[in-house]
Amino acid sequence: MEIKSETIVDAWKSSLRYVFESGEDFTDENKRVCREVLNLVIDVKNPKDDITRAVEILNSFKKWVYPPLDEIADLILSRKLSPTYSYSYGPRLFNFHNLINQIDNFLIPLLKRNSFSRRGIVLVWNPIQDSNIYKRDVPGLISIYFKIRKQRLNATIVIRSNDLFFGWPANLYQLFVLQDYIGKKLGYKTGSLTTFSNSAHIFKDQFEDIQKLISD
Amino acid sequence: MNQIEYNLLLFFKKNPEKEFSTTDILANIFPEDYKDVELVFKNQFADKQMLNKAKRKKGQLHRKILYYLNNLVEEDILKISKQGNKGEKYFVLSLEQGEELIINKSKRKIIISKPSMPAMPIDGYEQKNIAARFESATWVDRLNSILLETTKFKNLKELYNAINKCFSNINDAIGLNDFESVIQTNELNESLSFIRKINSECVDYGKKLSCIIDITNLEKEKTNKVIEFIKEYSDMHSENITLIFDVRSKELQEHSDFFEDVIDIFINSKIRIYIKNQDLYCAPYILGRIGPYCFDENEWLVYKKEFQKKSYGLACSQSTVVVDVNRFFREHNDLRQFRLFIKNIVKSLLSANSLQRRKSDEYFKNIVKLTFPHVKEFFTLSRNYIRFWNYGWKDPNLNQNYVIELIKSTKKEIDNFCVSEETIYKSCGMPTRFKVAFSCLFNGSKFKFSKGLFQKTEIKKLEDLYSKEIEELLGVKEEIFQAFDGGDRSRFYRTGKINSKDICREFNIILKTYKIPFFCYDFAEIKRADIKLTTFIR
Repeated sequence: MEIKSETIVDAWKSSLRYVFESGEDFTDENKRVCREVLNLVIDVKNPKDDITRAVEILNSFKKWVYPPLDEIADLILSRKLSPTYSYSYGPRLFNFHNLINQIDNFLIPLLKRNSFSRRGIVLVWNPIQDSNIYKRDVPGLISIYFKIRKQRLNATIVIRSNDLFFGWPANLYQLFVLQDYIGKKLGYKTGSLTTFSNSAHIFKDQFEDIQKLISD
Repeated sequence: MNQIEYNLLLFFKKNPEKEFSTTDILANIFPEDYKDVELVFKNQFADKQMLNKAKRKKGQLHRKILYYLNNLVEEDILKISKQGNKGEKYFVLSLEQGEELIINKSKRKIIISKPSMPAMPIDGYEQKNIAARFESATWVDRLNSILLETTKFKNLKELYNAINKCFSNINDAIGLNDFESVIQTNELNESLSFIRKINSECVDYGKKLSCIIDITNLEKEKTNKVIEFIKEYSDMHSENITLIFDVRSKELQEHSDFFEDVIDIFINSKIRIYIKNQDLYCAPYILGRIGPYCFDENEWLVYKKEFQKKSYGLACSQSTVVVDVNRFFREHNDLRQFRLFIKNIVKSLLSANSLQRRKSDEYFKNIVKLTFPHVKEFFTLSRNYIRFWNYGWKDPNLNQNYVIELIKSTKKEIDNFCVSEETIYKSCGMPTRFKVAFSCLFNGSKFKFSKGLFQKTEIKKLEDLYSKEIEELLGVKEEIFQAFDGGDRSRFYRTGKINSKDICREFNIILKTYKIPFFCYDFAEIKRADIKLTTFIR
């Protein structure tokens, strides 16, 4: 299924509505009832205009405290792994397995050399660390693809497990921050953001809030 | 600007939120001189003349640094945050969060700023002395309490150094797990010298230390050594070090001779003896200035199975907010408001944790160094604390069940909130831990709170433990222990005729009959004439 939209909030609400209405229920390993759609693609054409809006909407519920935007951004841009995190996206991108800076030493030079390249891929999932059945916390983001088309830098992210209500707004913001960082280095404007969620899901605990959101 | 003054300002600029003792500052500003002096003190072959010379030098250095520090205090650049028990001064920048200090002196300019702390939804309650951040100056950049695994350290010197280093990363207490192994494996004079030295450090730095003695590991042939150690410990009359006996009722009976000897020592010294019931609660308890700390029992069992062998220790508590329940209800007689207030505290703790997470390698430098590469595991069991003061326990005007129900139902709401926050952070790609525990606030903590309304639990004889009054009281206390997942303590004032055999029996009754995981017997009010001759002679 593919959901196309001009803005973040539209895409978010449409995808939540789709999963709520068409998803299938199951109980996950943490014994939480979950409604899921497999292989959901969400394509946002102009994310820049309302990139923080979904996070603002979540905060307006006042039932919980959403992570501050600078902490969300830090997670993808900071090269340093805080000792209290089990993993962080930034170190995976900028210092993968303590071996390679995938962004500054590969992606940016690659796209500078050939702006039409189809090899602009960076990985977050590290099989050496993550393909371990006893490990509790492993990244949700798997890989990110960057393509320059029509003078804009477009990004696509593959997410293995995606909580559409709480997680997706932060994922989009992180992707946008990274896209902006790379775009500035390359001299291109930011373009579309696309997410491919292998498991797009919502939790029963939030059904009431989701219904309220999609009916607004 | 003088070079020393300049170095001092640079030192504080690097650590704008931290509090430093004169010794800390000295060690950083005159590292060479300080090292020389310390080397002499540590040199066991140093003669009296050398020691006197080193003492003089240390005094000179202290006076020298204090001259500059006091000048900076006069200029309102620094302020004295507290004075240690031996009179040592502690200094912090005289700056509020978000403020900037521009010092411009003879062609040199230094700008010092303190990062701004987000506004907290408890600020208003703090102004009214209904709530307070424990150790507000180090609320975020220090942990409240940690547990160190003594068996992981090769020798006492290594353990001593680790404790010393951890002092700068904590603001209340350290627990030493399996302390019986320290006593049993080292020579008596070595472990005594260790405890004396560490006691003096605890006094200087204002920290508490809990030495947890697990009776399960007590070796029969070494009990005399343990008793000798306890005897010497009791002579210290330390206010900073507590021995906690972690025992099962069966073990109390098996080692009754040992316990009778130990109880005699505590009776004669009129000091409190702390007992933790291992049958009821298997995780360690740590005593702090403001109250007890403990772990979630299920999480402790996982830790024990999976990490304990490779672990140097665990963070127990990150940040604490204390609450005067009595004053809250005098101002707002509203239950809904109370729940919202506690939720606001939890939101403040969440902000504090967010800062801690992002700066953990800077704030907890020594701990990170000590526990590397298992730093993440060090934080896997840590919680934040909300401690309640004057919450109605033993207040004759209040229905005790009502008080307990209020605490329990509020706790349930807070637990749900914490689970939601963990879900949100995880789904954003930040799997983090956020837990809040409830506990009591000890009497004597220095907050501007209402006067404590409580009665003493007095035991005059063994039979008192079966009296209706005590049974009822302890019944309520059992409920409170369940509500306070961050730990509680029952304190029994023992008066009347006394002997160690009876006390041992009383301990056994408490261990077997009541669901009270942690209690102490206070012998401070017994009279000499009430101590049986056998106990006195022993």
